[in-house]
Amino acid sequence: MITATRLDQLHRRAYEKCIPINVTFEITLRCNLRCVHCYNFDRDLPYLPGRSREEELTDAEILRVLVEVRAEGCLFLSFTGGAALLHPGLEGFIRHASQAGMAVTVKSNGSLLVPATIDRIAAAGASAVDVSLYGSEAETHDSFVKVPGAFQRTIDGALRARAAGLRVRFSLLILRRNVDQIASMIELAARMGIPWSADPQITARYDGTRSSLDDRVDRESLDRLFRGPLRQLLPHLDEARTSVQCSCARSVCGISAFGEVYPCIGAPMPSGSLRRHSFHDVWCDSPALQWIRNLRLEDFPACRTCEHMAHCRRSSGVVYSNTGMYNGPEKFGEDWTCMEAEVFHRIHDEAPAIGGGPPLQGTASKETCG
Amino acid sequence: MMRPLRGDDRPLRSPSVAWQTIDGETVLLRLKERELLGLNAVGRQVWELADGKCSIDRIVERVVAEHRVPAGVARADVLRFIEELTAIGAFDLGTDGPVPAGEKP
Repeated sequence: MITATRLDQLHRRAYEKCIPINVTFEITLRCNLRCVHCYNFDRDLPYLPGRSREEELTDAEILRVLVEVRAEGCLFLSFTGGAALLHPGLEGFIRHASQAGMAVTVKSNGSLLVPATIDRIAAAGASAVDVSLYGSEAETHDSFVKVPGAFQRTIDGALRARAAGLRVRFSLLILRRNVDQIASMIELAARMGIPWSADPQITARYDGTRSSLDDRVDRESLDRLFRGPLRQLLPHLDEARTSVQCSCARSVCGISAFGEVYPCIGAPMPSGSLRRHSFHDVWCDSPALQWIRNLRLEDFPACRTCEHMAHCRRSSGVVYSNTGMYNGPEKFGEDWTCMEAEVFHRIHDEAPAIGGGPPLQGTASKETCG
Repeated sequence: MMRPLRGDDRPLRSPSVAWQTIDGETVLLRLKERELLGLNAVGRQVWELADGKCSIDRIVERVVAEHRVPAGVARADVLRFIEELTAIGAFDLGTDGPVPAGEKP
């Protein structure tokens, strides 16, 4: 009655059949930090311009959506924010999702992982916590999140969560201001025995402001990182690549705090409101999602003839956030991703044997899903 | 070592396992181990019936009715399946308590 199954096969089947096995649910935009890169909105403002907290989904609406995404095929569910841990209903949402059979991850800045909270989310059925880390020392991390003491609380919270039996993973965001600390951040994670992933891609904000992009690493730093501390993370060289599509709108889906369905939480393209429609109806009938699913290589003007395609790890969500064009950019070089692909190409050419591990994932991590 | 299963045992899906039916196949994900297991149609039925209320005897009856297999074969297969999943922590066994009202033991 039991057969061998592999995660990559499961993901491939979900992709081919358009089953949303990965759903990221943004349950609130409230946050206790004021990160400079935050993609929600400029955190110097009290809230997302033009919206109010009262417009966020109610607990009853969130619970209804959880039932609907489960029925549509969700297996891996992530709660995010803002700071998801600030939502007073989180424990109930986790319990509901876990009892329904979903693998629940909480994305967190780590600073709210105090013992009582950890005990509650673990008892409710959360299995994992993704913790964002922005530096290997307090000065760097705290300047990034603009809250003194956040670094130590994040480190303490990550250790506590792991001790409580939760799977903890660090998400290392690579920025201009911490680029010289990447090696020490990796060492810190290794000393703590915590797997990590790393990403140099940040995006413009959903509110249309772009100052978050000021902190992106430059070409020289990127080149140095991927020949140095991130060498093992260089993406696969895929010379047979014939598509630049990612999992958006196929096996991946995002839901905003206001109930808007996105192709991915990183691609804030309004695709249907869960206040007006069921998740099933949006997922199956949304013109935006169907348009994405039907895109072919020739629909990506800068990519279709790009000499760097075999080296590129293009994220359509990032490109959409930065250019407003999901299948963009219009021309090569109009997005940071193009520069990254050029750098990867050059490194591959000089040392083609480099790379081959899961893209941008630390060796300490065996994560392949969720 | 696990004790022998009894017909009035009532297996319960463990919260240490996430699961979903995807494109007709039910998969179990062991959360700590990150191990994925696939179930055939009979396994899926047993998994869905394992709500802590339905006894093994009742599960066997349902499998026989649904899949038209001899009762002896069904019982052997169901017991082996439950043993295997209990051994890896995917089932908890509700054993000695009274059968909930309205449930056939």
